[in-house]
Amino acid sequence: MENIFFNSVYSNFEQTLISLLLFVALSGIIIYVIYFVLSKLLFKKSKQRKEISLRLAFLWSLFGFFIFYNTYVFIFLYKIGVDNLNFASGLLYLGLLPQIFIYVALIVFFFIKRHTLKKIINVNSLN
Amino acid sequence: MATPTILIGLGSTGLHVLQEVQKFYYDTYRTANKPDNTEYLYIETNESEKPKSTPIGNNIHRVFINLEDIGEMVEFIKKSCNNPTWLPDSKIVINSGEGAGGMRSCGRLALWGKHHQGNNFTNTYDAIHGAYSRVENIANNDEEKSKTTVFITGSLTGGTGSGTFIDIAYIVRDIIPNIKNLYGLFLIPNRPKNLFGEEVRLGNTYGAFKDLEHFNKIETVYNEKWPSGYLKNFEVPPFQLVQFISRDYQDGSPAISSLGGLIKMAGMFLFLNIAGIYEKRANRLVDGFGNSRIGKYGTFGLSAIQFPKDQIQEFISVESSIELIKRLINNSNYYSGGQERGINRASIKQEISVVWDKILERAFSSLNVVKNDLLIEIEKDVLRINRNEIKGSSIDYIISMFTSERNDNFYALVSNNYNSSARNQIIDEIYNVVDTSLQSTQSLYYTKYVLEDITEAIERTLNYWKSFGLSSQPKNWDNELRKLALNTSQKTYKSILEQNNVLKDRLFTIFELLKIHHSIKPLIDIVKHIKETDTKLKGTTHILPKINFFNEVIKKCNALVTSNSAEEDSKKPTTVANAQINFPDRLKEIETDIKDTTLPIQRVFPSNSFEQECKNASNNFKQTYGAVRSMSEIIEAGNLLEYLTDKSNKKFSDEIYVDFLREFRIKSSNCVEDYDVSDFLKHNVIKCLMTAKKAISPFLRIKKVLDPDPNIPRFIIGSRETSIKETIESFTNAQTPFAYFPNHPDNICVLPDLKNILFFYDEKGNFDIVRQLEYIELLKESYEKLPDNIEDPTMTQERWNNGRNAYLTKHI
Repeated sequence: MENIFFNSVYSNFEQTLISLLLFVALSGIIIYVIYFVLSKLLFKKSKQRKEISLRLAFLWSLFGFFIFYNTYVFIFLYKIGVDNLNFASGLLYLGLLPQIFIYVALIVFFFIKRHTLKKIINVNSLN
Repeated sequence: MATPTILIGLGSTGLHVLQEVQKFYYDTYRTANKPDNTEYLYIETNESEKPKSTPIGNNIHRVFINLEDIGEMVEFIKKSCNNPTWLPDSKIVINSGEGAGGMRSCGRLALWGKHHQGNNFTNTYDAIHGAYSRVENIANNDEEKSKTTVFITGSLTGGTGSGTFIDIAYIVRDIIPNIKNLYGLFLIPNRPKNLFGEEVRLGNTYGAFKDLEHFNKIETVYNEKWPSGYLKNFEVPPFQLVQFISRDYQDGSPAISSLGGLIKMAGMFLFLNIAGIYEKRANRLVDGFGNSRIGKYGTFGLSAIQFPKDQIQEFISVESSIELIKRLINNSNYYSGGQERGINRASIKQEISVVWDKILERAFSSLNVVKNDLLIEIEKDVLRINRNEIKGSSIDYIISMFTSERNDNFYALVSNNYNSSARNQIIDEIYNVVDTSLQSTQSLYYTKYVLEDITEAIERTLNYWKSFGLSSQPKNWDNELRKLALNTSQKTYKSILEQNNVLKDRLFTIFELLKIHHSIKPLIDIVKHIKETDTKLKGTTHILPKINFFNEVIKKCNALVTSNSAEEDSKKPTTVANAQINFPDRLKEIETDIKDTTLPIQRVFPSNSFEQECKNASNNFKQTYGAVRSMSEIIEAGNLLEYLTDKSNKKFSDEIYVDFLREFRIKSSNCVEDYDVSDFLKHNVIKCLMTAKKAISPFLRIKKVLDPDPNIPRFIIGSRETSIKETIESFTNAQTPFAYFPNHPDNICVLPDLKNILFFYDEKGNFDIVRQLEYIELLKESYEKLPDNIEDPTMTQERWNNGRNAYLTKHI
């Protein structure tokens, strides 16, 4: 397990793909758990439509997960040691592909969701 | 107790004289407009003439003799009164103008007439009979004193007075067989500079003189079949004594400048009679008649030294009224909590926007409950849908909950609830906002802005709703509902177990939109009502005010504080009937009256100036009631919006004029101290002597020298015997002694309540008006000769003479 989460060395494509899928699945689960909890806790007294409250709770979940993920990245880099990373090598990026993918995807996903919510709130909509 | 008295005014002048009597009585006694055993009655052909009130109301009873359908009236008189010879042809009297139109026969016709709107003769007879019953019922142990005296007054220049005065006298004699005295007091024209434009007035007067002379003859019998069906024969003359007064003075002094001044003097004379001089006069007159020292015609001179307390009170009342109206229509400032503040339109807009949101919120909340709480019902439906306890698809179920096509669903419930309560609630709340604004600011502009901003807020709301496709049409609603229902099945948030909450929220939203759908039409109606003039929306108790209502009220208030009369008009007596009644003109009238040197009334002031007295009174008023005028001084704890609405449904200007003056007059009554004019007299004997001498010259130019006669009433009238005696003494001891009023009980008349004034009264008689009036030839010429300058081709000599005759067809 440690090999999957704290390994920066590229071995083969299959291994990387497995890692990527695992990262995506785990991120999904964690985000869902946070979202589930936050959907019960946040905006209880809000006069917003429930759907907006839930979408907002989802954004908070993404943000919460982002904090959590940054903590993981910090520990990951600390363990490996920044000096051991060869940023000029393409293999490094192949080895860190799952982490990088989640990082970027999370940010992109957040802004997409934020934009959708903004649209729902601003556009004259009945629901 | 004084003699029971009935004062009957004929025509507009008769009304104005009675108004002066009522005003003098109120000014003197403050608690009543007349003594208990006195009645005021006036008979008028002009519908627009109505009596003016004093601060405590009006006691002048009006008898309107309607000239509505002249043809019908002529036919009626022809049939029921043996076609009397005086009866004019209906073609002649039709279109004679407002009232009797200056035609004597028309005035008499109006009295005798009957038409579909009523019987003028019966109405007049009943009104006089009613007045007699009222004065007769006042208990009096002295049999002689319990007999009624009647004064008939008016002008002989117009149609009503000169056409009816003899008939009215005989009607009075018919109703009161044991009448004590029947007097006439008639105003006649002064000597004209030329005849141009005066011919009708002068001709009518001459015709009336001749009629009166005829009925005063011993051999004449009044023999008429009245419209009531009774044949009446009277051998007695119509009046015991007829007094004539004009604006002229016997001694040739400049004539009284206005008819209003003469009316004032006539009013003063009649007031003095009902206030107490009548008994003293009657005692002297008995001797006078017995010794043939009076005859059938008389006149009098009357002068006074007066501290015009009433005029000062009225002046500051008018000023206060102007101040208050200006406060109401101030478009830049208003008062709140005693502080003057600027009207800030932006802040009103902002405030009203919030207020409107709350009104709508409360109205929508009120729609949630119809027997049961509808939101709970919706929640139950949500559970049913999510548990799949429904038949068919959830979308169809949701549509059936809110569609306009069923009458057992939420749509029907909200619709019924809206029409029965929410709509009224919105109207009531808007009314309350407007009402509260007006009540707290007493600013018509502020309130108008509030109403305008409410309308704007409603329009904004409607536009917002329309922007996402909602309308009041049920068909559109059903289309929109379909989209909404479809949306409920998407993204149900079941994964995080929020499907119930989400669906509940979505159905609540549909429910809110349903309320909006039902609100659109009523809100459009509300906006229409506020902005347009012809719609009418009523809440639970009140009709919603309109912007136009405030515009109208502002306009009318503006007219009340804007002078619009020419200088000449200000000399005319103001009546409520005057269309453009306003306060500044009344101020001018008071000042003109005070400064009128042609009136035989000398105005005296402790500070030597009317302006200073007004200033002092105004300061006293402000010290007592505060510096800023408020509507609470007029309506006390009453509601201002209701008050203004009520007044605008009536004659707004007249009503406001009367109300404001009445209330401020009552309040200002303690702000002016009484002033004993005898104090002034002690230090200004020569000046006062001049005034007293004016009374010796009667208001009539008679060719004969009218010497003083001990049998004819002549006295000084004041509140204290000692001060009258002191006055007589001062006059006797003056540099040029004046002993016209001897120190004898017959020449002293004490009326204890008569503060601030001292009267000098000198009656004259024993002359022949038809032969001894100085300008009788001018009257005769006007009567006999058709004026050269009349352009009307239908006016013939015969028609001219017919118009001047009412009792006898020819005097020539």
